[in-house]
Amino acid sequence: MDPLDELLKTFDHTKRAPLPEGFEAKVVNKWFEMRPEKKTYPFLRYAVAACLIICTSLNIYYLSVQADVAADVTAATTDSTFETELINEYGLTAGTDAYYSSIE
Amino acid sequence: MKADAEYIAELKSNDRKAYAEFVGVFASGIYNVALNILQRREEAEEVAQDVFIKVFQSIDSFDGSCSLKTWLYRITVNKSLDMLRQRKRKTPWTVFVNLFGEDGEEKETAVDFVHPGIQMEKKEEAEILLAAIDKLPERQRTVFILYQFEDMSYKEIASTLETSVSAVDSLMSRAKKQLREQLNPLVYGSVR
Repeated sequence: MDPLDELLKTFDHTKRAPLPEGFEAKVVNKWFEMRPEKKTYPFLRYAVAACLIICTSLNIYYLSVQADVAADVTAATTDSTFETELINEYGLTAGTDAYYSSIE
Repeated sequence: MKADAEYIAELKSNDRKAYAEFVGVFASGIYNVALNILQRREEAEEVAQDVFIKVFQSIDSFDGSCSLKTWLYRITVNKSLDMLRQRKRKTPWTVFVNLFGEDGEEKETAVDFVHPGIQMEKKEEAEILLAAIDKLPERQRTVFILYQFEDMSYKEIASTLETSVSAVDSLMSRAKKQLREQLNPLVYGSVR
């Protein structure tokens, strides 16, 4: 007879190896110890997330306002060039070349 | 034994007693499948614990496309095979370190399990058989164990391994052929 079949024929597959001692309690305890997040209030997590979103939005808004003000200041300073001052002072409209040619 | 829906509802209710009852019902089957695949008690216990933790974590996402038992066995098989791969990946240096342990204490590395259903007078042959099973490719080994040791049908095995019945049949034939090739010369001293 085939040794594999012979061996399997004498083998009682319904018998099971006993569980390690305290296995069931160990598993349940492990599960209840490792899931503290279920004990915390989900409301707190939502509140923290909402605060973060509000702070970030305010920060972005503040930065954009600052950028606008900075752009205005730059525009204001670029208008007051030396050339503009000469025009204002001497009433020249055709550029500074006319002024320089007149004083030569 | 309760219906699957009852177990699922109880686990979702977060009741400690329900968890204990669930583990009590399924632990023996899961531990023995892991033990038959791994043939090492310590690793089988670790895998069985991981299976239950995984089930508790994912019970909300269980879609009921298969039975609870099939789902549990699928997780057990996958985790056991992961453990086998992890064992094989160990470098010679890791094996050396594990053999003696950090505290110099020798750790379990060899097969330390013989199925309790094997008769004492057949123990030597059984040890040869278990050693031969240990050498089988992982899919063949899994199919052979689920069929011979867990008494599962080809259909149940196919569902557990998410494959076809014909694939299970083919894996079983190849497993038996390979086991015979290893057992015949060892048991009878000649190839039949």
